[in-house]
Amino acid sequence: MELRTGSRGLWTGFLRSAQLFPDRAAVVAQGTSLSYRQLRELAIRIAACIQAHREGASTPLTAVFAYRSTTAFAGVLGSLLAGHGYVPLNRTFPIERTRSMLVRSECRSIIVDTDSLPQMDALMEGADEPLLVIAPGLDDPRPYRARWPRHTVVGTADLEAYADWRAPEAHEDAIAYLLFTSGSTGVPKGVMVAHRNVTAYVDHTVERFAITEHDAVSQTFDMTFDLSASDMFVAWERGACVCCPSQKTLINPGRFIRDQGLTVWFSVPSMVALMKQTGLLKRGAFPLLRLSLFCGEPLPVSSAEAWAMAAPNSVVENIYGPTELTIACTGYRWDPKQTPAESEMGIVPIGAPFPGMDVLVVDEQLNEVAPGADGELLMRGPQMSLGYWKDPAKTAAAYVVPPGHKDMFYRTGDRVRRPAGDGPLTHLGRMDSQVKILGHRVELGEVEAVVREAAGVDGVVAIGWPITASGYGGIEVLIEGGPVDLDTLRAAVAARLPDYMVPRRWHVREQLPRNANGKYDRKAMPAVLGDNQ
Amino acid sequence: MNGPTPNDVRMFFGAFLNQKLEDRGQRPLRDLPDDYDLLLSGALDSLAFVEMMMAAGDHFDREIDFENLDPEQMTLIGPLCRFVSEQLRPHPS
Repeated sequence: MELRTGSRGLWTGFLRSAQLFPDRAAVVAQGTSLSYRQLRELAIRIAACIQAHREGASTPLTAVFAYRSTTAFAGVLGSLLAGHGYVPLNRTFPIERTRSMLVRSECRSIIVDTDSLPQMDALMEGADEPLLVIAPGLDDPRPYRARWPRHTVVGTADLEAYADWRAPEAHEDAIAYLLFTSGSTGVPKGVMVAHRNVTAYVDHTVERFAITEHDAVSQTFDMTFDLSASDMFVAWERGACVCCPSQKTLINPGRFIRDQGLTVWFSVPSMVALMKQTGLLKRGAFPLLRLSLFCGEPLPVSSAEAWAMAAPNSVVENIYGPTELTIACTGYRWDPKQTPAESEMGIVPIGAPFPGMDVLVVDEQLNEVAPGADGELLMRGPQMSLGYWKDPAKTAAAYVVPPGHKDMFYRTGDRVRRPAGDGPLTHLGRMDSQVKILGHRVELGEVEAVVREAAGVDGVVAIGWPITASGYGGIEVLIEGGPVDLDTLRAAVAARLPDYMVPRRWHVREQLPRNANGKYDRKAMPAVLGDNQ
Repeated sequence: MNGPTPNDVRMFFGAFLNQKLEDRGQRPLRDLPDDYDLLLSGALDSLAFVEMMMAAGDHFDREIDFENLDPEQMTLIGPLCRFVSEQLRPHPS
């Protein structure tokens, strides 16, 4: 691929803000606040260190093995300022998974925070090539140097010596971050997201969300979830502060919102369901919030209503996008009068595409469906990422040129309704959440919507179970929270759905399994049933 | 009725934790010292912590007010048991 130079690197917004607002807080994490000046200084030393140790043909990627710490943020910036893309690693993941990401990404440098250091021995077991290990919080690197003689270990004092930083050339097609997402085969896929993809997103959203240096922006997402990139780069583009809660603080997000004086909130909708369940969404609880964003999974109308009541001065937006289309690429602004009528199956619409992004809703042959019909959502535009890291076969399967088109589109795997007129796009579920029950095509999202409405709870997951040769034997439903009068609920659902769609078994649990990103983990649901197959 | 004592709450949490550990194929805990950190020890994540608190509310048949829960202090078993016991004490009507 030809690299174009002279364009804007993802780091430029941060550097401009550091010049304009050097003494404003850029990040708060683990009780430590770093001003733009302090964060810039640390990031530049990290960048200079990477540049000083860089060898000719090595892959321009640096791993950031840090969790909710100031080092994590300095590591991301340091990688970018060195002219590298960053590869986020997460110490709360199983070490084998993290090691596989490190090995597959071919990083030759890694930035580690103090709390992740104890996992480094296990992580480096698979590292055949010499690694540059930068640990900005490590006072005494000598024991590590003794243990890892083939690798270079840089601690706090060593980092002071790296001052010779050279601004990298901006290649807009270069990788800004390489993010591993779960693959259907069980092997994580590395999505290559370019600088121009992220700057297109940032350029649009700072205007759309009117971000200023007075904003305090939440960072609820782990860095291994691409929505974290929105919090960081949108905030830093305009001199705002990124406020990152610790794992502990996430137990009571309401307190965090108030203590930090947050003005912008961004989370998965499941967090709203949890806060609602624990009584944290009291009327007017968050008066300072002026913007609330939800993404990552369907947003139930009831969750949006509860949030809007708790944050009465906040605009609420449901934004949508897979990692491959860079953070989010469509948006819908909640309107208490209009939204319920525009919603389908009790789920808030995903709205209209961001500027420059083209939408195509297609059938199984990738031909566009008629207005008002449903099909798979395909999108293209400046936010469409580069494809999968070292996996041309998977890239070719997901990035396609539909019949009658010249341009490549990304297949989202999401089922949406093509608007009949000026209305918003509505999300109907995953293509693969359609199951066959006794030969009937059943959209699990529809079953969930009916149960959700009848039960008056947000946390509902329907699954096909057990697996049979022709599909599934029936539908089982799992409800989070309760208590629920199952007899009444079953009757209400049976009155609205055909027999084959009525769940055969019902399970009420205090909590349903969630994945590392806080979304309901569908694959883990059969285990909740206590069945093995 | 006076509501559960901190020790009653500790026994409930101990049983809950050991069930979680057993589900994951890990060895149960023999005792729960006051300074045992439920999150930092890796025994629970923040969601499982919330689940445990709600289970305690159900078990003792009272609602726990999450609003007053300071997450930085309340993941240590000693202070947590005292907090929950206090929360579950019947209030004079």
